[in-house]
Amino acid sequence: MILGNNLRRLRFENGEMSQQDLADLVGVSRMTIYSIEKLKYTPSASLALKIANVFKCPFDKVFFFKTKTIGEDE
Amino acid sequence: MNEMTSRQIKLVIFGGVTLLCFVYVAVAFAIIKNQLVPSLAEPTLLINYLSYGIMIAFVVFGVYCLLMLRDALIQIVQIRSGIIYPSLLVVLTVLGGVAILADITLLSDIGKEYLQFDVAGEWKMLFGIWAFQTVTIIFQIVMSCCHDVAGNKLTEKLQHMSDSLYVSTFQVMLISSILGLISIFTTFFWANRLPELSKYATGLMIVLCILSVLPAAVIICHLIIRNRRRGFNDWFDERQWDNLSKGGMVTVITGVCFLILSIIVSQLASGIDPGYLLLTVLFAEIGVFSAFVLSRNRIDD
Repeated sequence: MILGNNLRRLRFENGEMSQQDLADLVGVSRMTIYSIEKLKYTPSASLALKIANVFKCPFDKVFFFKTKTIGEDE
Repeated sequence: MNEMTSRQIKLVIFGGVTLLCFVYVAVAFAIIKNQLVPSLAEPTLLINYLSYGIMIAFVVFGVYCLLMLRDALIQIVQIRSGIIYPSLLVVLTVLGGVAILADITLLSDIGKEYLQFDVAGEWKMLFGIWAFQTVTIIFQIVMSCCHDVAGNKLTEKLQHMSDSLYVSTFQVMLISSILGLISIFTTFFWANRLPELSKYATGLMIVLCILSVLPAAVIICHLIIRNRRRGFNDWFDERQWDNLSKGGMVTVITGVCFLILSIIVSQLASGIDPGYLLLTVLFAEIGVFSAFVLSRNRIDD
């Protein structure tokens, strides 16, 4: 099981927000947002909550558990 | 390419003037080399005048290097992360600038020794350093043409987490470690091939290692200055800290392997100076750490 997310969709639904914009809002680098979207990095609870707050969504609408499929990044 | 700003044009003109100064230096070196023979008891008036010109050329190059170092450090923060040119510019500018000291030392040696000793080796080194500095100037001019940093301050503190600064810091550290390893191996093989010069080898190796570390020292100072208002924990974001800790773990593990290897090598070849092994392990460790952190920061698509 890995932590999946809807970041890409949510960014586009929120005024086509760029990765850099989201990164600046939650105080991380753009590469960190990129890594979370690509499931290369699992954010801490604190960062995940900050991201959910930016989109004003319940936590489980942004992040969810998903089963890792073959060929998918970590 | 976008139209160049007036600041870029001024820098390119300054670079052009510096390049012309270096053409003069090459011509002056060639004339002095031909005239400065052991039978010449006192340097001629021409040699003295040419030497003043060389000094002025080095001052011009020194000032240009300082300006370009400032620009390179600003470009590191501005340019999209992952691009290696600003990191290369930092390394070349620092080494090219510091090489002025080597130029002065070699010229001074030639001036003292030409009456009694063969100074062909010194001239070879001098022309080698000249070639390196000329390549540096050309690269600096190209970088000035491609990127403008007007309106940005070197000491401006970062508003947001920067990928570029993080990546560039480790790029420069990786280049420094590779240069350090090349310096150690070159000195080692040079000392083995020319036993009569081996007494200078340790000193030369230490100087070359210090030179190799200088770009890394500059970039780390820059990182500290940029983050001076932040708490240490806020220098990097959580993913960057995560990569740094994993990099630290990999470095410790490989460090133990390198140390075991160096003990085996020192037992098998007792003639090897432990200094070589220690510095090799040190630079290899810096290289492993930097390469690991950079490999964790790749953009795949």
